[in-house]
Amino acid sequence: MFSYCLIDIFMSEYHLNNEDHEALEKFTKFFLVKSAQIIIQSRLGERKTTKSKPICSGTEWFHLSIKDIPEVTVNAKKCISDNKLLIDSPYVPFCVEISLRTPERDTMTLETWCISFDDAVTDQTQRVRFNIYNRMSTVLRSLLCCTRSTPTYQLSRKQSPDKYIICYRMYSGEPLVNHLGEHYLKKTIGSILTPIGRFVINVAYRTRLTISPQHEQQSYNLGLDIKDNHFTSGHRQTNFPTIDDDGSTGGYNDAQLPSEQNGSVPKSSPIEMMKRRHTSYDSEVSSSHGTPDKVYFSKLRTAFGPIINGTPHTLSEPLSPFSRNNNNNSNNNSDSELLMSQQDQQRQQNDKQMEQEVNRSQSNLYITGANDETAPDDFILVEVKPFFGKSDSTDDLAVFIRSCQQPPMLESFIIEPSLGETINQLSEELLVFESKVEEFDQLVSTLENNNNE
Amino acid sequence: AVEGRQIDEVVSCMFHTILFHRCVGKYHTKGEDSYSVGTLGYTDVDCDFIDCTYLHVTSQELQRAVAEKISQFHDALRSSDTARSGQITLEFYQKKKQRWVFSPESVPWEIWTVKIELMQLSNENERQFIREKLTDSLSERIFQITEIINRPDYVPKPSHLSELDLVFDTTFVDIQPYLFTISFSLDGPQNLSVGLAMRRLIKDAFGTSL
Repeated sequence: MFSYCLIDIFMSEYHLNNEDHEALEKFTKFFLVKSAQIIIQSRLGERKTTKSKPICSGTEWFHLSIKDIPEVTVNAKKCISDNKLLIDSPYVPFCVEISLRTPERDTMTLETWCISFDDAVTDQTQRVRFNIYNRMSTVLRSLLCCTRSTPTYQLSRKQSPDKYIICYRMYSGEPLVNHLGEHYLKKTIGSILTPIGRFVINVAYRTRLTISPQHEQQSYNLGLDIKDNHFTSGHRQTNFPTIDDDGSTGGYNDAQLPSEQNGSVPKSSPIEMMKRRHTSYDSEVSSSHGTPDKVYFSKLRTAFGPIINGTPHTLSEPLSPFSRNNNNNSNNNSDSELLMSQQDQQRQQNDKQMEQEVNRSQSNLYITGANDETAPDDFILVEVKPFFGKSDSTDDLAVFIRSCQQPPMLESFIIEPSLGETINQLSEELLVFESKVEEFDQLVSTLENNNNE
Repeated sequence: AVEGRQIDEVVSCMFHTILFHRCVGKYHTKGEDSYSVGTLGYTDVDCDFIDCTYLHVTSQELQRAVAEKISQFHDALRSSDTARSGQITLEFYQKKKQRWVFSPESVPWEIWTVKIELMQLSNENERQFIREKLTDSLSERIFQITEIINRPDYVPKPSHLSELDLVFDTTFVDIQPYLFTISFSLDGPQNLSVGLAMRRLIKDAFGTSL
C-alpha cells in the first residue's frame, strides 16, 4: 500500500540524499519497465482494457493498472541491468524499437522509442517521493495515449502471420533512427525534471513505406511499400547495433534526439524474446494475460524451407517477434507443441527421403526444397502408420501409400508446349484422323451390327 | 471541420485523453493525515468513422457523464437550422471557500475548447479524403494535448484531506477526476449580456484552444 503523509516537514535538499537517490533509482527502474510494457503491449494488435481499482493492492506502480507481460519485464530488467543506471553517468538511454516482419523475412523498422536522461536541466524543488513519482505517472499516461496515435498502431492492429507481424527489440544505447527512412518524424512524449537531471521520452517513427520491385506482390497484399534501397548498406537492416566499415553506424539526420554519433554503438546484449526450440522461426511470446502464446511463424511457407545464407535475417539474429494473430490465442500452446514435434519428424523424414531418392530409380516421389510444382511435405507432416506394417515410415508399405497419396506430376503438366506447337500438333492429328475416316466408319458399323445382334 | 457523424468520436477522443491525465485514483483516507490512492485502469476505444483509437479511464460513470454532454452538443449542432459550427469546452475548476454563508466560488484553472465546423460531403472520395485528413489531424492533437499537459503549469493541490472536494470530484466510485464541467455553444447570432461577455473574456485569457 503506497501511503504517505501530506504534511512533509522535511524539505528536499539541493542534492539528493542517499535515501532519495535510492528511491529515484527504484522509481527509474520501474518507470523504464512500465514504459517498455506500455509500448510493447500497444503493438500486440489488440485492444486493451484494465480495471480501475478504488483500493490498490500495492503491486501497481504509478497508480496505473498496467498488467505486465513477464517476458517483457524480464528482458527489460536484463537490458537495464547490463548497463549502468540511466540516472548515472554516462546516462545511457534505453530504447525500444518496433519493426515489421513479413513472411519472406523482410523487416522494416517502424519506430524507435527512447527514454533518456541528462543533467543539463534540473529542478531542486522536485521531491522524489511525491512530485517525481506523480510526474512519472503523468508521462506514462501520455505514453499510453501517444502509442495509439502513431501510424504503427493501426498497422499493428492489422497484423497477421500471413501478412506481417510486428516485432520489438530493446537495447541500451543511442537510438538508431537511420533505418526509419527519409522524413521520419520525431515527437516528445513528456519530460520529468528531477533535482539531478531530466528524463525525456521521445519517439521517432517512419512516415514512408515504399516497396522494392521484387516484393510487389506481397506489397499489394500488405498495402505497404518498401523503398527500393531500403535494404542496401545505407539503410542496413540490422537487428542489433553494429559497426559499419567506416566505424560509424550511419549518419543521423537530426540532432534533437539524443542520438549523437559516437562511432560505435554500445554492444547491448540482444534481447531474445523466445526460446528457440526449433531452428525455424517459431517464437514464443506472451499475451497480455501473461500466458505464453506461440507465434505461428511456422505457418509461413519459408519457415520450412532451407535457411538462406547471407540474408540479414539469419537464425543467429535475436529478432524478437512477439505479437501474433488474435485467432490463435486459445489453441496455441498445445497446437504449436505438436507442430514443433511434427517439424522435427519432418526434418528426419526429409533426410531419409533424400537417401531413398538416391537409392531408388523412381525418385520423383519426394521433392524437397523450393519446388513449387509438388509439395509433398509442404506444411504439416502426418506420419504414415500403415496397418500390418512397420511403424517406421521407411517401410515399403508406408512408402507405397505415400506414393499413391502423392503421385508425380503428369508430364503433360510439366512440359507445356507453346500455342504454336499445340496448334501444329492438332493439325497433324486432324490430318491423321481424316486419312483414316473409312476405318472409323467400319468400326462404328461393326458396333451397330453387334448391338443389333 | 468534420461530418456530423464524426462529432462524437472527435470530441470524445480529445476530451478523454485530457481527462485521463486529469484524473487520479480514488483516495481512501486512513486517519487524519494519511491516505492511499487507488489505481486507474484504461480502455481502448476504436472509432467507427475515423481511423483512430483512443483510450479513456475505465469508469462507466465518467464515460456516461462525458458521453451525455457530447451527445447534447451533437444534437444541438445537427438540429440547428442556422448554426453550422459550434464549440464545446472542457473546463477544470477548483472551489474556493467564501466567507460566511456564501457558497464556494468556482474558479477555472484550465479550459480546453474544441471548435467544430460541420461539413457536408458530396461523394465517397471526398469522405475518404476527409477521413484520412481527420485521422492525421487528430493524432497531431493527441501529441499536442500531451505536450501541453506535461508543461509545468498550475495544477491545484488540496491543502488538507478534508478539502479534497474543493479540487476533486469525489462523487465517482472508482476514480477521482479533478472537478470539471462540459459546456457548449453554437456559433451564430446570440444575445450577449455584459456578464456573459466578461466571463468569455476571462475564459479566453486563461483558456487553451484546440
